[in-house]
Amino acid sequence: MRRLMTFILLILAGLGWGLFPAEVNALDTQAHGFGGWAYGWTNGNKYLIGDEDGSYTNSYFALNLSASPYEKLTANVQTIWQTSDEGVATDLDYGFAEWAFTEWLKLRIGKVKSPFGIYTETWDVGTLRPFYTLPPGFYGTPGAIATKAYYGLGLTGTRDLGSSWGLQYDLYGGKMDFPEMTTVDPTTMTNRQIIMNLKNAAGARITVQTPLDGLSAGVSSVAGDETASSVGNQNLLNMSGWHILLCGSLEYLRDPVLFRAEYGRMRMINGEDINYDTFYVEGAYKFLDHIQAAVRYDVKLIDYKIQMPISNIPDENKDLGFGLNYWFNPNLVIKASYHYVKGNVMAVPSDMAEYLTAMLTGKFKDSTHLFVFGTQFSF
Amino acid sequence: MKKYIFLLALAGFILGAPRLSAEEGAAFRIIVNADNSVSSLSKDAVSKYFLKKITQWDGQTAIQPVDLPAGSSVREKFSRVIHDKTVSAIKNYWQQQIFSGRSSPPPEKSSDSEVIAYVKANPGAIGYVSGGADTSEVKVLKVHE
Repeated sequence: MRRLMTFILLILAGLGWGLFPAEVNALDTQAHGFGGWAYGWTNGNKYLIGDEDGSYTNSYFALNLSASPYEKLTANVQTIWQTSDEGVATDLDYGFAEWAFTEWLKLRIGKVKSPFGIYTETWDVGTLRPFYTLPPGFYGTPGAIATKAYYGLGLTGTRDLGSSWGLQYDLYGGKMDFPEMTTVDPTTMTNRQIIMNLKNAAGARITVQTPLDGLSAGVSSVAGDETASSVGNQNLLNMSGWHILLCGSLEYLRDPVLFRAEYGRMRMINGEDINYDTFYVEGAYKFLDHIQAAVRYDVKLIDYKIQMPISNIPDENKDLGFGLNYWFNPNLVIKASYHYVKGNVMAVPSDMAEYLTAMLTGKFKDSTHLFVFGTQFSF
Repeated sequence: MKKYIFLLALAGFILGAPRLSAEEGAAFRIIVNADNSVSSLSKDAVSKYFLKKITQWDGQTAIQPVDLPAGSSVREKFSRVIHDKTVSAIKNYWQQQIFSGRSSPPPEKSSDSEVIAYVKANPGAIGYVSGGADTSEVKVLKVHE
């Protein structure tokens, strides 16, 4: 199946790159892509893409194709291949059709990247951010505040408000996927994949571009019926219920300065559950045309309101990161970063028995040092 | 198989990285199809046309912007004067648009003559060329603040 998908995508890529004659190019097809690889090492816990043995297997590549067979119709597809210590995963990142009535009203239908916060629509595009990984509290698991994509129907558009003010807005509904996560099954002492999504969900985002060039602010919200299930039809946690996600974002992008900040909150509104609050600020400055220094502070706080199957489950993650990047051009960057992490929501022992013992006793290694070195590219 | 796809993409990307052109010092002129009724535009309007924030001339005809390559000094000057941004910043804007599935960048033509040929062939086209290019078969727009 994967080989067939690869073959089809390569044929489509060939169309996009003009290997076929003009009548195909008349569709206005374009092919783009992005990818990356990184090495991650920690001094003990497993955290993000690093572990204490040093992880070399974090790589990914995505192929993006778009075609406009008619002036108002655009079809978009993006597929991603990712490797990790757990193996290789292939996913349809998005695939949807868009009909543009005007610039201020476009209809989208299919699997679409969630318009939520700053990074959700460009989740894996490393050349659009200063660190190899996304802010972990907001976008990382467990407890990602943002959904990755929606299956359904949406409206989007932009409005020029005059005097250099602008507006971009989205309204959408359907089923939405959170990033996949794994957790420990105490009954089998194995990792178990948890699938979380929102059904019967609706969301909206409004982003305002201000007259100060590069400065924008946005608010996003999604509400839906959340379900969490584990592979094997054995639920570890009963997390079903009506949930609402809220986000406020601030962004300033003006060479050589980059600044982004987001606050996110997830709340259950018809019962007791697990609530998440997270925020981050990140800044970067580019000098000598190619070198970029970056700093980020990211916090995730969890409020457990249900009886958890194991006591002593960590409830905070604080990550202070420093990065140094070399940009060959806007499409290729080498990144190095150091992260000092407090808390064990996301930084946990690699060894399963050690993990369970730590949860039972509450004796985690509560600070973690992570070093990341890698490259990210796009075309 | 996936390793090869990844390596090929990385190699192709590095080989395809932008190179500087020999057009240092050239100014630029904004051109449209000779049949286009527009004769002047504001800088802000030109910027929005090239960023596809406005997509139609008159509610009927689609605007079809066309770019020079990223390494072109003419494009660098166009970008600084019209967008008040570097080419790198514009590249980042397009990455955001492409990978969020919102829009795709204008086609890039490798020379003034190819841009002129594109503008001549497409009624809705708008492009820019160096100050010394032969623009006798297209219309040169006046650009104001």
